Amino acid sequence: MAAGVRDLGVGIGLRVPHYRSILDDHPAVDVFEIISENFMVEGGKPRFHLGAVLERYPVVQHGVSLGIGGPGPLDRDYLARLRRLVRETGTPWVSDHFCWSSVPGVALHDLLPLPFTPAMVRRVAERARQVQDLLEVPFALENASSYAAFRASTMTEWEFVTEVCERAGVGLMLDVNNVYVTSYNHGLDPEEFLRGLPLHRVVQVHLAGHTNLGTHLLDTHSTHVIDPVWRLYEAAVERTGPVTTILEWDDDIPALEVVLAEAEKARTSRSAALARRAAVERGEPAAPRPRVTVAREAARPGPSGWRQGGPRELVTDG
Amino acid sequence: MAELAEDAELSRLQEWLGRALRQRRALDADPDAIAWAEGALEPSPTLSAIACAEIYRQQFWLRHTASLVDDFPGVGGVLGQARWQRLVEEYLDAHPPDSWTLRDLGHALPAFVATRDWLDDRALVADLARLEWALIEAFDAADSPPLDASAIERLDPEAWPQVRVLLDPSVRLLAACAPVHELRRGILAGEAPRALPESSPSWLVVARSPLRRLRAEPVSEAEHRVLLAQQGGAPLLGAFGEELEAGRVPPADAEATLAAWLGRWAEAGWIGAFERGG
Repeated sequence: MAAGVRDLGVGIGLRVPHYRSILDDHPAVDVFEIISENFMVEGGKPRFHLGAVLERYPVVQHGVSLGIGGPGPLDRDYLARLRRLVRETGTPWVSDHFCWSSVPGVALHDLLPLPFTPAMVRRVAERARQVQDLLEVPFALENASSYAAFRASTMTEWEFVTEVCERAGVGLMLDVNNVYVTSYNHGLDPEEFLRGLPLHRVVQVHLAGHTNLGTHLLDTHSTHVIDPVWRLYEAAVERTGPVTTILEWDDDIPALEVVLAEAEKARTSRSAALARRAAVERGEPAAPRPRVTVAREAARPGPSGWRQGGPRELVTDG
Repeated sequence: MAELAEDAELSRLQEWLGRALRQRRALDADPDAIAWAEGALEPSPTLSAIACAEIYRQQFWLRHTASLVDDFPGVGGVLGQARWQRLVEEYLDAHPPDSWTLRDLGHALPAFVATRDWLDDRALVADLARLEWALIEAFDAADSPPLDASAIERLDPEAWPQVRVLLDPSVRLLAACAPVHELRRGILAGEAPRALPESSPSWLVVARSPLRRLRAEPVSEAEHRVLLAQQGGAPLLGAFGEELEAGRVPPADAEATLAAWLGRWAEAGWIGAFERGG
């Protein structure tokens, strides 16, 4: 049990193109993660599909619109709807991102990077505590991928994350691919990044693929997880112990079997990491693990945009 | 005090970037943006500070354009790429996204289309946009319990003059200048958009069926008016009587017409419940 929450095993993000297969075939999945906002509606197909999934599977909620570090106050209507959904799904925890997403009057619908300063620590920690109190379930924030860094920052991202989590008493949603993407984009060492995070506070892990544009990586969730990210994942699980892991695939979404096969790779990696952790605990010598670095590579084709949580369920008839 | 000042400084930084991301032109063509970025952002190992900001600006436009394309396929199909792009850019300038969900992004598009002087077919396009927004609203409107088939029969005959029909929460009523529902279906089926007659008034009911299928169904003007009256809380028989008096329903067919309407409304899932007014 990491961070005082249950380990739910290995699951995938619930995405619209897979609804039919999931509801018809009931694949073996430990847990589905939903994007909260896609179901914060009154009724219709989104709520019907969620209800059908809830009848058979545990569900954890992940959000993309809280914008906890924004310059304006938190959106009370949004939080009230989120709270209602939390009651309905029985999610054991709720997560969102270390980011900001709006300025007063304008929603930017992005996970914008935060300046890592003491003032921002205070702002985010205070709001994170408020959100956790309001939702009455453990709340966790995810390290986001970033493409810009502020000169105003006075601490590293991992120091910032640690400060907020400790001060607010909230969990960390560890996105291993984001550690890699951010490290690549800003010339950081992903191993140092990982080591610096408060891993005892991890409630859940995310894995995903990204697009390599050569000059930078985009967190598109549009392809397979790359080998260095698998290795980073194993390094993380060795430190956290058993922790719920979700495979995200949000663009160029393939057949459900492909996503499930990727989740099975996560299960294998997780088992290997836990076996290694157990061996170390027994005092057995551990073979050195290959160090993860961010190697510069040539660009590979892929989506040029990212959309967190995949497509909304859309009107397709009428 | 120092903490408040620091917080305000962070907010100013974010507000500046928030404005920059909504610019239509690339940031590296804007000297003010370049100067700001060099002062506020670190260059990455491979990108200048302004190039880092530009990644986010491009995403703002890609994401919001894609959302509108998803939600208004008919409007996009009628306008074609160049006019659609112009409409979206002008719309997002005039109506920046103001909701936490992209689902709400197009709420003001129908009214906005009607104000675009450069769109010579704007009445038609505005009505098509109204239809597409109505479909979005109907899609995830609140569920209501299925209507008991015997609900009509159980009504006390003496109560009928006060009876109102409570429409299903998904029902949206539209009056259009042309059968835009047919135009939309054609576009979604891959047919090239065709010109429509300038004047062929069309009355539509957009709703979700009990099996959660969305439909835009044409109805007569009289039926549309009675449904509108129900939305407004008027008694059913009173509203129907007004249509009879206005000659929009032939007196000889009155009873059969009302029975046929009620049967259709119930079958289509447009009736949420019957209510006896005071």
